[in-house]
Amino acid sequence: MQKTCNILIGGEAGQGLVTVGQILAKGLVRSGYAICVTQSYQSRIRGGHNTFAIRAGVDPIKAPQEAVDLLVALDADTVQIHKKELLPHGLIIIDEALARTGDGVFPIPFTKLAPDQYTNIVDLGVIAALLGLDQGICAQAVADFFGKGHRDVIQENQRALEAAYRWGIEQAAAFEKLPPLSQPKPHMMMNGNEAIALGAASAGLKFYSFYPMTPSTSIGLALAAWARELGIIVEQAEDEIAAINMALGASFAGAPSMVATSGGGFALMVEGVSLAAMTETPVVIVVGQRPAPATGLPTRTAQADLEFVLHAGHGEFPRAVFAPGSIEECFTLTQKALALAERYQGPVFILTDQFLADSYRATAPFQLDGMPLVQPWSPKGNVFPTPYRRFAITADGISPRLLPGLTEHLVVADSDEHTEDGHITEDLEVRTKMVNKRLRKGAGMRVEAIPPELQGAEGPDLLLITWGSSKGAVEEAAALMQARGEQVATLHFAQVWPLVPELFLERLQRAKEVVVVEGNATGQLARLIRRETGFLIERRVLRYDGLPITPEFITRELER
Amino acid sequence: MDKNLDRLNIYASRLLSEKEYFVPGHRACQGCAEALAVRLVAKALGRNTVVASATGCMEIVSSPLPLTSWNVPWMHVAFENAAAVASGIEAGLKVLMRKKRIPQQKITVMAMAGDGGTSDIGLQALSGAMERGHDFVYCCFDNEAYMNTGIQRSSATPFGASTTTSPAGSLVAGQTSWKKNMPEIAAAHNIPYVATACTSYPFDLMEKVKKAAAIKGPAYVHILSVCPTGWRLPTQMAILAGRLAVETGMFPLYEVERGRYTLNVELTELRPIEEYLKIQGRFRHLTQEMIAQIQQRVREEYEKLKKKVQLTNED
Repeated sequence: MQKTCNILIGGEAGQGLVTVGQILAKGLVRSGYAICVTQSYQSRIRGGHNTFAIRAGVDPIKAPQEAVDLLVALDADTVQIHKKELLPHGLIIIDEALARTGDGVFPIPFTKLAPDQYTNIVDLGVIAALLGLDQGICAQAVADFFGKGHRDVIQENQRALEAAYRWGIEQAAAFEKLPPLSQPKPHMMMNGNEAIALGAASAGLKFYSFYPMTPSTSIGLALAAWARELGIIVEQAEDEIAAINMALGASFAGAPSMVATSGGGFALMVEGVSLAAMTETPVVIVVGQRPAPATGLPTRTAQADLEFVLHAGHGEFPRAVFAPGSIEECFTLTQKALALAERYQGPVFILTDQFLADSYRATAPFQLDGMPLVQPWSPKGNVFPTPYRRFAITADGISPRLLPGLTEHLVVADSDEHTEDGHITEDLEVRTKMVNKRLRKGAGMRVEAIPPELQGAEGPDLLLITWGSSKGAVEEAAALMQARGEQVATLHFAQVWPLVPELFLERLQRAKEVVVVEGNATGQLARLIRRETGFLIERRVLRYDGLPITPEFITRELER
Repeated sequence: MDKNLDRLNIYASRLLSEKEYFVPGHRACQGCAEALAVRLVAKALGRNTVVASATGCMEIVSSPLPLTSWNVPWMHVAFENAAAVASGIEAGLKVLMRKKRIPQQKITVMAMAGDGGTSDIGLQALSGAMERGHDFVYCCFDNEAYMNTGIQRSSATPFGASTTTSPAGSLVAGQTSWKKNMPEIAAAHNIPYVATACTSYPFDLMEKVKKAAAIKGPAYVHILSVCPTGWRLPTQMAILAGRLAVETGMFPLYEVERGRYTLNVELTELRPIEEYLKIQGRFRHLTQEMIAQIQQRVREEYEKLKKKVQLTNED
């Protein structure tokens, strides 16, 4: 296991801890270090206890860590709340005016270093010096962050940074620096939502509609920033019902479309899911999970909407559900989701959550060569039986999709049960055939399903199963146990539907013990696996307090 | 009608109840005029009130223990449903009184939501409740964007204002559409009472809320609630900004009582709109041309309103 440094910045909302965190994270990534950010905030306008944690190291970091090396306390509460997480060598960085002497307290003479309003920058300078970051890189990160601001403000910030950095260097013996890097490779600092936006844009997304809802809103903001250059329309709707139905309209017209929301907003979208299925209209739906029911814990994380998304929409129809476990998977699976939606002409889901949405990581540039742009499915070489039938019954269930107005043929879509040419019918024989046709598309999706990813040897003593954003924590927990000589492997489901038993059941059967790790209270993946395979996973490590699953959490629970 | 109403006309603060039903200790931002508006509304409605509140700033800042501000029964509901839940509360109370399960008495049901919860996602439920004719008061606390989730535009965001989803840049200068006229939409439902109000005119506001509660049937009060955080305004200037909104004609104070329009603050001359715009960071990017465009529109709208006053008071 590599040695990492976990920096936890804590304070009240409105104190600017995200600013410090983001600039520091940027400085770390530009210096070539790997990071994993965990943002934890309360649903408050002001006040409350919030944290921005950056775990940094030389090699890629997949998961957050609870134990803290550097506790940056913007208020006294932070010390009280997080003191117990501080490692023996750890330091508490705090204003000397707030500090009570004690173990690990490292008071900073803020007033001597810079005027009051620059305390955040002073924190940044001191941390950068303690970690051994280059002052120039940090100065650039500060300059970039404040952008085209007032020149005086920028200069004052730089002056504060320099004074703090110089002061920090004098105290540098107090803390072990990050190991130097031999040949840093260029990385991007990116969070899960930005990767979803980029993945969609690079796949050929043309229309995106949304209604603001934490933690999904930043996908729309990221897309809007590039919308003009990429020829994407981003539309803020008056509610989620309008958002998904706008997307269905755009998709009917031929524009690859996506929407994003969270559980409560998705509840409003559900009728649209069914409509997409019936009218065979492609749409990608991103659900950023947070603790529910109802408003729940609106700014925290959960993995509790798997069953909801799996069953959303009345009636029976095929769907695919992806659950990315990393920034890279956010990117690649969004591309895949768009392609699948267009190919199978129906709803495809991406299940992410607040933790992954807000978790910045150092990400290697994506491979874009040879990636085809998603196109509305159309009959190959425009060959199809005449007269044209939009919902022609075919062997694979996929019917020739022409775009309305772009063909001489009439293209109609109906929410009622319909005939092959798209008109309402009460012919019950046709009804049965249509249900079967739509369900046959599910067989194709099964063939294309992504197999769960195995890490470790076949037939282990312990197999840890997980899905979505808990991937990194589970893999790191397994690595810790492997280092102790235990036979542990992990199996991560980046696609949770369709579940194809041939792709994983044998692995479960060959393990001595199987444990599922999930961010919900009932073990939704375990129940799904039981339903689909009959295999019962009795032992479940479940977290549903609103915080992300960490390697320490898993180890603690397993040792119980 | 409530006797207090007439006395309030003389604008004497000592005649007001000292009792508070939305008490201090909440965590709204410094200078938040919306929290002040809620306080004044609660004070005007008094103890016999049940509140249905949609998601928004006011829910977040006033309800986490130990900071709860509410001294009247209060239910937080989903974003789009304040008016529907209030309809249910009103009908529930009515049937309980009819069946003599609870004593016959005047209980005011107030639905509250922000501008997003009213003019965007909650419009359908509000329209339904007004059309069905429930005896309730609907207060829209309008701070002109989704402030709680990080300043996203709503349909009540004014033309030209910069928000995170209508940012001012080199290509687009903030919000591209004109503010949705919610009071007129409410008035078009032919409900007995519609009013606009602003915390910068506290007695006017409370009088209107009292009137709204006293009138039988649906009443709609649209309250401009200055948001220093979202409007990029110094925190001590919220009341001034509200005054300027009224005096420039940007947000006229008026009532529609059974179809009859009354201007409550009549202006012989509108102050130049620039005085209102220039103090707010969200309008900082506006060109003289855009300001002229807004000025033109404000003047036209004000004239239209004056005509309505004239037309509905002719007899």
